Amino acid sequence: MAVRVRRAWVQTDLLLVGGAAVLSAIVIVARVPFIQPAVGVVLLLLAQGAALGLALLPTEKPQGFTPMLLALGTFASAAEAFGLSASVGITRLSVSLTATVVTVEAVLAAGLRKRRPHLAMPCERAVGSVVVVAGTVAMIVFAVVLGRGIPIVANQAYSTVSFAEPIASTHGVVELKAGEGMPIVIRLANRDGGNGYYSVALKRDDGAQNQVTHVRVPTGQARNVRVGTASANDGCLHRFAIHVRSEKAYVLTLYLRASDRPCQTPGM
Amino acid sequence: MGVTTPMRPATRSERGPGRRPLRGHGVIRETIPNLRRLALLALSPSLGVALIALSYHQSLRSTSAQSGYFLTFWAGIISGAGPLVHRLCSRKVLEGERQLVVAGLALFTFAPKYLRNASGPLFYDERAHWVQLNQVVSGHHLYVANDAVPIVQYYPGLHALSGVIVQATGLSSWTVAEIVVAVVHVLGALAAYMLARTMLPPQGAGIVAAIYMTNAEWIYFDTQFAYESLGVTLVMWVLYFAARTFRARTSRDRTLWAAMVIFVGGLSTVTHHLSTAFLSGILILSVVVLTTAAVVRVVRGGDPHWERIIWLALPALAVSTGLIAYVRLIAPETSEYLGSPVGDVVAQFKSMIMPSSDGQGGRRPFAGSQIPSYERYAAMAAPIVVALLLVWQFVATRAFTRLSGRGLTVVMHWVAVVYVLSIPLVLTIAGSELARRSWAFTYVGVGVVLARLVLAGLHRRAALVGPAAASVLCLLTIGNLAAGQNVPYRFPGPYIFGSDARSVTANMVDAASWWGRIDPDDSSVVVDRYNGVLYQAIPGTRLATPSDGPVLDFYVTQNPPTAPLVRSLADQGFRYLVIDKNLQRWSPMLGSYIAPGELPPGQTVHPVAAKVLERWVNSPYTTRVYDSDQITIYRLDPAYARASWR
Repeated sequence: MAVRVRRAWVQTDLLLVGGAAVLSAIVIVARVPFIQPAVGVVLLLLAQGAALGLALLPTEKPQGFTPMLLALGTFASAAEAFGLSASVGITRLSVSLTATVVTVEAVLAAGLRKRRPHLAMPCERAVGSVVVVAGTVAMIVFAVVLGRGIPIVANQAYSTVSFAEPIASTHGVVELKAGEGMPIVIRLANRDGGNGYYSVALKRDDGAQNQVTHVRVPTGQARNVRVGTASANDGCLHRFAIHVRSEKAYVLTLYLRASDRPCQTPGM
Repeated sequence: MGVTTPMRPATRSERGPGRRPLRGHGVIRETIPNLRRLALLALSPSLGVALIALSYHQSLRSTSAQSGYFLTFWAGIISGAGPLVHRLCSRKVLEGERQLVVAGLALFTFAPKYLRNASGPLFYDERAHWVQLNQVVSGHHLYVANDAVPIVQYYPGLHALSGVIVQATGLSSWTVAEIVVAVVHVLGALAAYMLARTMLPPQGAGIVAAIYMTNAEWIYFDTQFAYESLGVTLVMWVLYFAARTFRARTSRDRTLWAAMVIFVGGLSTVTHHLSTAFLSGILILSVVVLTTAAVVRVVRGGDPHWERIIWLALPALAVSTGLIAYVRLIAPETSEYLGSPVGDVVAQFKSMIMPSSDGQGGRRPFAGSQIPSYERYAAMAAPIVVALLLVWQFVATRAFTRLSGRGLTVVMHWVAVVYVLSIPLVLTIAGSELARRSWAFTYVGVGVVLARLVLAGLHRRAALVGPAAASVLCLLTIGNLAAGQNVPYRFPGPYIFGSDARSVTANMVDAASWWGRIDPDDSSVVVDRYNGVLYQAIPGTRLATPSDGPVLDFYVTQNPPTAPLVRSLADQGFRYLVIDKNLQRWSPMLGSYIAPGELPPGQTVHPVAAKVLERWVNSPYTTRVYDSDQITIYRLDPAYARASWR
C-alpha cells in the first residue's frame, strides 16, 4: 500500500509537471510572438528540461513541492492564454492548483495512515518541512519589504540641476527644479542667421504668471534672458510651456536654467 | 581515515548502547525537532535578513574608516544560516525536509544580493543582461547585439527563458529577472545536494550542499541576473545526471540518464560558454579518472566496469562536441572573448619570476581592499585549510587509489584537486578571473572531500569534530565571500568614481532619463562606461566603443575629432556626447574610461585636465543641451565639425 500511495504521489506530480510543461509549450507557441524556429526549440527545451529535472527528484518529496515550484511560471502562462489579467490569473490559478495538489495528497496520505500507521502521519512528519517553508516565506516577505529601503544610487551630494532643452521646433515643455525666488533664465543662441529678433513666451503650469520677453540675438552670438522667477507654490518642481517666436522657424539652442542656489529636492 | 566508507548503515555500536534501530514511530519522533529548534528554524532567516539590511544601512552612513557594518553583516549571515545549516547537516532529518532546508538555505543566500539592489540592476554584467532581456522582449528577436558585453548576444538561454515569462505574465523585466535567478539559485543548490546524494548518505549530502554554498561566487556573483547564474545550475544538474548515468544498472536507465546529460548539456551550451567549457572539462576528467581507476582494478584482478565508463564517455563526448560546434558555427567570437588564458597565465608567471621592465603580470590579492583584517586572513586561510585536508586525504588514500565510495566519488576528489591547483592563479592578472569562475564548479568536489572527512570524524569523535567542522564552515563562508567580491559590490555606500556598483548618482540617473525623454530619433551616444550603463538601458540606444574609432579622444586628449571619426559617428547615429565632470577629479577605480584595454600598454588612467573637457563648451561641433553639477550633454553637429579640425 505504501509503495502504491507513494507511486500515486509521484504520478500526481508527474502528471502535473508534464501537463504544466505541455501547457506552457502551447502557450509559448500561441502567445509569445518571437517564435523563430530555432528559438522555439530552445524555449521548449528549457521548459521541458526544467520540468523533467524536477520530476526526476527522488520520490519522497515534500507534498506539492514540484508543482508549487512550477505553478507560478506555467500557470501564469495559462492565465494569459485564457485571457485573464495576469495578476488575477496568477493568483487564482496558483492557489487553486496548490490547494488541489495538497488536498489530493492529503487524501492519499490519510488512506495510507489508515492502512500503515507507522508510515503515514503526514502532519506530524511534515512539521519540520512546514516550519522551514513558513520561515522561508516570512524571510522572502521581509526581504522584499526591506529591499525597498536600500537605495542603489550612491549617496553623493546632490544640488540644483540646470536644465537645457534642445528643441528642433520653437516650443516645448520643460521641467525645472528651482527654489523659491530663483531667476529663470533662458539662453538663446542664434547660429543660423536671420535678423535675430525673438519673443519668448513663458507660461507657467499653475497659470500664475505669463511673461513675454523680447530679445535680439545677433547671428553667432548668445544671450541670457531672464524671463521670471520661481515661486514657492509647488516646491522645487516647475513646469513651463515655452514658446519662442523668431523670424526663422527654429531655434538651435534653448537653454533654461535656474541659479546655482541649492534646491531642497525631496527624495533624491 | 580516508578509507572510511560512511555509506553502510550504522551498526549497533555506532548508534550507541541501548539504542534500537530507527523504525516506524521512532523515525517520526526522532526526525521532529524540538520546539526551540522549530522556532529558530522559522525565525532565523528573517532575523538574518533584517541584520543584513541593517548592515547595508550602516554602510550607507559610514565613512571609509568605519567597518562595523561588516560585523553586522556576518551576524546576519550566521544567525540566518546557522540553524538551517545545523538542520541540513543533522543525521535524523527526513529526505524531503532536508531538500526543503537546502532550498531555504539557498534562498537565504540569495538575500544579500537581492537586498543590495532590489529595485533595479546594479552590477555591470547584470545591467548588460537586463538590457539584453529588454531588447529581446521589445524586439521579439534573440541574438541581439549588446554593446556592454558583446558576447552575450550569442548565448540567449537566460534571455529566452526570462523573455517568455515577461511576455506571459506581464511582470516587469526586473521582477522576472529576480524571480528567475532566485529559482535558478535554489535549483543549483538542490542539484549539488542531489549530486552528493549519489555518493553519500543524506547527512553527508547535506554537508556537501552547505560547503558548496560557501564558494566564492555563490552569494554575490551567481545571484546576479547573468547567464552564468543559469549556466552553473545547468552544469550542476548535468553532473547529477552524469553520476546517475554512471551508477545506472540497466541499459534503459543508462539511456535515459545519458540522454538527460546531452539534453541539459545542450541547454547549457546555448546559455553560457564558460560554464559549458568547465562542464566538458569535468566530464572529460571523469572519464579519464574512471578509466585509470578501471585499469588499476584490472591490474588488481577486479571488474573494470568498462560498460559504465563508455556510457559516461558518450554523452561527455557529445556535450564537448556540441560546444565546439556551437562556438565554431554560431558564436565564433567566443574564442576571441575568452582569449588564451593558459598562455597568458604562463607568461605572467614567468614575468613574476623574472620581472620585466613594464612590471606587468603579477597582482597582489586585496591590494587597496577595504575589507577588515579578519576577512583578509580568513580569505587566505580558507584555501590553505582545504588544501591541507585534501593533502591529508590524498596521502591517506594513496593518491585516492584506496578510496572507497559510490559513483563519482573519486572524480570529485580530483575535481577538488583542480580547485587547489587553481588557487595560485589568483596571483596573476590573466588567471585570477578564470580561477574565481572555476570555483563555482570545483567547490562541489571540495564539498565531497570535506563531507567524507567530517562523516568519518563524526563516527569517531563527534564532540570534537562537530564544533571543528562548524568552525571550518564559518571560515570558508567568510574567507570565500571576502575573496569573491570587492566591497563596493557587497555594500552600498559613498560614491566611488569609476566603480561598477557605486558610481551611479541621482544626477546621472536624472541626466540619462532626461535624455531618454527628449531623444528625438533613436540616436546613440558617446559616453563613458559608468554613465553608459544608464543610457544603454534606453531601448534602441547604442554606445560608442573603441571599435567605432578613437572615441577616447573625446575625454582624455586634446586631439580634435578626425574626419573619419566624425563621419563614422554620424553615419551610425551617434548624435550626443556625455561628459562626466568627475573625470576631472578622480581616476576611474576600475582603470578604464570606456572599455577595458582601451589604453596603450604602460599607460594608466588619471584625472583629466579641466581644459580637455571644457573645450567642448565652445566647440562648434558640440552644442551644450544639458548641464548639471556633474553631467553635461552635448549634441554633435557633424556639419560644424570641420571648424574644429586642425
